[in-house]
This record gives sequence, C-alpha cells and structure tokens, in this order.
Amino acid sequence: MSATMLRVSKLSIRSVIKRKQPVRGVSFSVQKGKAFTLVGETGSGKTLVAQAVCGNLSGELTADGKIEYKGVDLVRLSRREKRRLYGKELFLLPQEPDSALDPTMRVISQVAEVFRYVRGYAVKDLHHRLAPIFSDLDLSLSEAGRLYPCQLSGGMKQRILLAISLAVPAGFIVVDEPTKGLDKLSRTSAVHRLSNLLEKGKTLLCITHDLGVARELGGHMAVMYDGCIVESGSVNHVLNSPRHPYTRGLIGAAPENGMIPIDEEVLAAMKQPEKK
Amino acid sequence: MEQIVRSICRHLFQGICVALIVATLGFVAVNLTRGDTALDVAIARYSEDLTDAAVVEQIRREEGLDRPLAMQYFQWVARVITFDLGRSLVSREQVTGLLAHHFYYTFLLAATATTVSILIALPWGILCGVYPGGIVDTVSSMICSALVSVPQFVIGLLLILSLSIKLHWLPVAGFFSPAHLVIPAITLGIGLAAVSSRVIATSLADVRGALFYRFGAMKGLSPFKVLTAHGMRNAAIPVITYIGVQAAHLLDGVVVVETLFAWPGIGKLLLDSVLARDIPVIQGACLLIGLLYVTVNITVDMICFALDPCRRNYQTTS
Amino acid sequence: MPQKLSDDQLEMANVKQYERLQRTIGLLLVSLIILFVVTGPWITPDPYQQNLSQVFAEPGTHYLLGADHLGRSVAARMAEGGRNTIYYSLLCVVGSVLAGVFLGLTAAWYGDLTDTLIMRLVDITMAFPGIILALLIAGVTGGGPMAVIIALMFTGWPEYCRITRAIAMSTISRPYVESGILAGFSSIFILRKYIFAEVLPQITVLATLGFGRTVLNISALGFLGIGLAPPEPEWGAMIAESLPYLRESPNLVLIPAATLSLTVFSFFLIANPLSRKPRK
Repeated sequence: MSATMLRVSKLSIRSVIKRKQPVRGVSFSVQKGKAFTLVGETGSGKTLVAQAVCGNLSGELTADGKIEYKGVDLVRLSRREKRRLYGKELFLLPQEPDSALDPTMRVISQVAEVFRYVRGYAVKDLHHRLAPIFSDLDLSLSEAGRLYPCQLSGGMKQRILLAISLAVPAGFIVVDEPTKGLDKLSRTSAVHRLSNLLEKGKTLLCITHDLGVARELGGHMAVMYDGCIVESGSVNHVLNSPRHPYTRGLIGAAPENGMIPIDEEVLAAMKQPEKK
Repeated sequence: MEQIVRSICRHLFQGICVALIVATLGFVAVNLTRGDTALDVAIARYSEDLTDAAVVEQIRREEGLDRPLAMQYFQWVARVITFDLGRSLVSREQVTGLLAHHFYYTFLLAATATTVSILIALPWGILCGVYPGGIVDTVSSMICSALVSVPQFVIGLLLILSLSIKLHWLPVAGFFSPAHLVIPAITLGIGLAAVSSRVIATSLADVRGALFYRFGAMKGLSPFKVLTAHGMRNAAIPVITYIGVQAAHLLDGVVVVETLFAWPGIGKLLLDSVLARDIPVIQGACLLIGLLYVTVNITVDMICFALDPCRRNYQTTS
Repeated sequence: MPQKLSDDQLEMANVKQYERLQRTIGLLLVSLIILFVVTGPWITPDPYQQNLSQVFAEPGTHYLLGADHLGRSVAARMAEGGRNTIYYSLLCVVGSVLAGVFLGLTAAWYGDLTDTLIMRLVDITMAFPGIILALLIAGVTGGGPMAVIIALMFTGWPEYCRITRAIAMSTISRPYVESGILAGFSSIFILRKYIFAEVLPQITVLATLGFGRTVLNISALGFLGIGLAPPEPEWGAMIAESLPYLRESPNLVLIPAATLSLTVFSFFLIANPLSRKPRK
C-alpha cells in the first residue's frame, strides 16, 4: 500500500465578483507513484482544482477547505511559501509548449538551468546529467539541444517540457490537458511519455477531458461535473462499471464508443440550483 | 540570415533616401528663394562692411555659383559618390574635415548622455517593472510624464540656473574642459532616461506576465535567477527596438541641446550653416545625419537578431 | 455575508480610479489654459504695447505677471503666445492625422503595391528628424510659421498612418467585416462603419499625445529662433528673448517655461501615454 501524497478534502472555490462557487466540496487523494486523473468537460471546474493545488488561482478566486501535500495544508501557505515548493516538491506541466519556453534561450540551457540552479550541480556534470534525459526522449543533445524553441516542432517542444519535468526534483507533477489539440498520433505518444514519467517514480495529477488518458495512465480517477465530483475510484472500476449516469454518458460520448450525446435529463438533474 | 540582409538593405535604402531628399531639398530651397547666395556667403565670409559688388562677383565665379543650377547639383552628387563633399563656402574648409571635427563633439555628447541615461533608466526601470502598479511604479510614472513634458531647453536652462549661476559649480556653455560636458550631457540624458525607464518598466512587466517567465518560477528557480535568466534578455528587445524607432527624435534633441549650450557639434554646425546658407556644409551634415540614422538602426537590428533568434518581437519597426 | 475584496481587485479598482483622476485633472488644466488664452485679449493689455518706464515691472495690478525687458505685459504676451502655439499645433496635428489616417486606410484597403509604396514612404519619413527638417525649411525659406507647420506635419503623419494601417488590417481580416464585404456593402460603408470605428479611439489618444509633442516642438523651434517673427509672441521665443535677463529676473523665463511644461503635461495626463504599453 503506497503512501498518500496529496489529500484534497472539501475543497470549494468561490468567485468574489460573480458570487458563484465554481467548485464545491471536492475531495480526493493521490497515492505516491501513481496517477490520478480528473476528468470532466469544459467548465466542470477541473482546471480550477489544479490551479488551487499549484496555488495560482487568479485573484478573484479564493479556495476553502484543505489541500494537504505531505501533511502540509497548501491552502494556508503564503505565496512565498508556495513558491518554495515549486520545482522542488510540485511542478505544473504547462498546457502550451509554445509559450512556456523562453524564445531567446537554447532549449538545452532551459533544461540545464534546472540542474544548475535548482539542484545545484556543477557545470562539468551537466552534460552527463542531461544526456540520459535527452536520449530517453529521443532528442539529440548536440542537435535539438542547440536549437531555439522557434526552430522546434510542437511535439519536440512538448518533449522538452517533459525533459524539464524529469529534471526537476519535484516528485508530484500536475499535468493540465496533455492531449488538448493534438492529433491522434501525437496524442498516443504524449500519453505514452506521461506513463514514462510514472515509471520514473513521479506522481501525476492529470487534468483532462479525455477518458482514454485516464485509461492508459491507470491509478485512480474522478469524474467532475458542474463543480462536484460525481464519481471516483480506481480507473478500472470507474470505466468498466460506471455507477453514475453521467459517467456512463461520458463514456458513451467518447469517439471510440460512437459519440452518443449525454442525456439531457441526466445533465439537468445534476445542475446546481440557481442561488438567489 | 536572409532576414538580416533584408533589414540592412531596408535601412540603407531608408537612409540614402532621407539624405538625398534633404540634401536636394536644401539645394532647391536655397536657390528658389529670394536672395543671392554669393552675397550671403560674402557677408558671412568678410562681414557686411567689407562686402562690395566685386567681392560678390569673385565669389560667384570661384564657387561656380554662376553655372546652371542643374549642373551645380549634379556636380555635387558626382563628387559625393567619390566621398568628396566639397568645401565650405564660408570658411573654405573641406566639408569632410569640418564634419569630422564637429562629429567628434556630437559623439562625445551623445555617448555621455546615453551612458547617463542608461545609468539612471536601467535600475529605475527594472525596479518599476518588477512591481508593476506598485507605489514606486506609479510615482515614477508620474515623475516621468512630468519630465517628458518639460522641453529639453527648459531642463537645460534650469540646470544652468541652479548649477552654474547660483552654485557656480559648472561652466555655462561652450567646450573647453570636461566640466563643460556635464550639464549638456545631463540635459540630454534626463529626457532619454525618463522615456527609456518607462519602456524598460512596461516591457519588463510584459515579460513577467508571459507564461515562460512564470514557468521559470515553477521550475524552482529563485525570483532573482528568473529575472536575470529569462527577464532581462526578453525585456531588452522592445527597449532596443524603441531606441531605433526614436533615433530621429534623438537627433532632434541633440540639435536643440547643442544650440543651447553652444556645443560645437553637428547640430550647431547645421544651424549655423543654415543661417549662413552654406550649401555644401548643409548637404554634408544632412548626409551625415542620414548615415547616423542608418547606422543606429542597423546596429539596433543586429542586436535584436542576436538577442532574439526567434524574431518574435522583431517586426515592431514597421 | 460581506465579501472581502482580494488585493488584486483592489489594485485594479485603484488603477482605474487613478487613471480617471489623471484624466480629469488633465482636462481641467487644459480647459483652464484654453480659457486664459481665449479670454486673453479682454483681460490683459495689448501684448505689443511697449512701456519703457515699466521695464521689468514686478507682478501687480496693472501687470498681472509683470513686464518684460521692453515693458510689455507678460500676461498679455503669454495669452497671445499661447494662442499662437495652440493654433499652430492644432493645424499640425489635424493635418498629420488626416493625412495619416487617409494613407493608412488606403494602404490597408488596397494592400499589395499600394501598401508597399505607402509603407516605404512611411519608412523614409520616419527617418526625418522633425526639428532638423523644420530648421532646414525655415532656414532656407527665411523662417515663418508656415515652414514650421509644413515640417512638423511632414514628420508627424507616419505615426498615425502606421497605427491606422495596423488596426485596419486586423479589422479587415475579422469575420464580420469579411461577411460584410461578401454581402456586397460598398467599400465606403465598410470603411466608415466597421474600420473607422475601430481606428478612431486609438487615433484620438495618439493625437492628444501628438498635440503635446507638437507644442513641445513648436516651442523648441521658437526657442531656436525659427517660426514666428520676433514681435509676435510665442512661449519658446519668449524664453529665448528673456534669456539674457535670467540672472536679474528669472520670472521672465520661468513663467513661460512653467506654463509650457504644464500645458504639455496636461495633454499627456489626458492621453496617459507612459503607463500605456509602447505601441507595436
């Protein structure tokens, strides 16, 4: 039985301006070395949960409840204290590889600076630290590494980001929409590389709308709708014998299952009653 | 690589056009308007009392001012191609020598002023950009708009009034010792610093909002490291581009400041020769100013290419 | 339950409020200056009337702001000079805006060769230092306000042209404009209804800014002795005239200098130029 790395309990997120609660009473826990996938459609609040975990909710939103990371409540931490965890403990793999890389820096330096300044390795060690990571990802250190981000394809940039997530000491990685906007082939390899991260001993919290990602990563998952978790459990369990009608609808709506629209009545029944 | 060549060509074309148009304009304007160039030259050369018809005629013949205008112009163009700008009508000196002499002083002034402005603007702009919307930023934005609103000659006058007349610390005008450089350089530098510190601040604030900058923090780099590794270089590109765009305005400032402080630079030379209708010098100075503009812009382009191989911010000039 | 505002929200609200305050102060100052300049002829004596017994008179009841080295009323000359400066600046700005917007729209609308030609022209003109050009034109034509206006208009239009073209280009490529074109609306209608509406707010801000800068340039030229002929007052020229008496009566220099700076400052306050991002 593996240890719990992250335990979210009764997390609610309030919007001050719109007086709404886009996330209500979400609880789940992530086991060390395993993946946890949060599935839901656009607007279900899954990305907000990820942001709350990483501590970069936008200013108008406030989080209540508990997010315990290795026993520390992240909700209570100040911005500065959270910042100290970045890279060393938790890491967010960004959605957009195009804008996440510094356009004025060779990609190899962007990976190397993690080793140099976060882990504090000596300059002469850098090469043999970088070499295995690059070869792991089918990137040539002497060629691809010398290039600038604009000279790389989208898939290669994605791999550089993965290289960075392998380089950081953080064991807990939040992945936001890893397959968004990818074609089928690149999607397969992206998911494959994520499971690679798992093999390297990292813990993943994956946010996606794609049930296939959950299936391939394994571990546990939760289905969110309208700010609440409607069903959670092990991936096998949820996907093979869904109990909640919404989960069943979601599975039926997947492309490989014929894209049957979710029943309107199911959705209407779950809708949050409008507050006056 | 191809882009570098293209941008150099563009700026060369720009500069050559400007220089030729200004030089031609000067030539045409001088000859179209009332008055006798030879007479003006004679007065400038020998003073009004000593000028008579014979002297004027002699000058007219010597300088070739009696030939057809088109011929005078094409002769000048032909000579320019061979780097011979002719002689000043007033002092009879070689224009190239005259320009070189005055350019030295302009360069001295501009270089000092730029150094002054960088010394002020860089730390100030970075401080504002690191905390955008903060107290330092707001106050300094106020101060900068105030400074930009004060004409350069007024800043210069206030400096003269306080540092020279009241305190007797520094000499007023002219150029005889390094101390003479201080007030003009500060005058020119303050305006530059006010503008560039704002450009630095806003572009740094922009970069800090970029995803890759926040990603730097996510990697676990310290705030200082993110600023130096990812902030500076990216923020520098719009700043340097801006300098290139503003090069023409900079030259304007140089002229005003040089005139105010009787600084023997290109601007003063230009003003004097315009008043004396010294055509070869006017044209030569215009060519030089065009050339300066081109040089500044090509340098700016080169730096931008070196800083930003992805040319993300590059096409801001046109 | 009372909701607490977060720091970011407070900050945003503060910035908005602060910008509005800036604008109001700017507008107030501009109205004051314009009021003074327009009512000048009624509340001040003749600006050309010399009174050698009143040379360097201290500010008082007759001479509101004192008298200059020829015994002329400084207040009257300030009003008259301000009228000149503002009038000429207005001419320059209106001229450059009209030319710039027209050429910018033309470039964006026709594209291809027209666009290239106009943008090359912009490139060339951008390289002209305005004051130097004015100096040249004024110097060789013997001065006069026309030279200044022509030179400043000539160097002013490319900025408006570039912005207009950039905004128009991005507007033209938007779906609603494209469908408008496909629906067969006339070009004039589309330019006026869709594109000009996008261009106008930006150009207004830019023109306010440009007005401040033109006032600066005109006074700098006046200071250099180019522009209006001597007895005619102009703020920059007044400073130059009083320069020899800087030691004895600094007021004569400081009054026009302060007014000039304040005028420019209030225009900048309205356009709030420096907190804005540098235009791409």
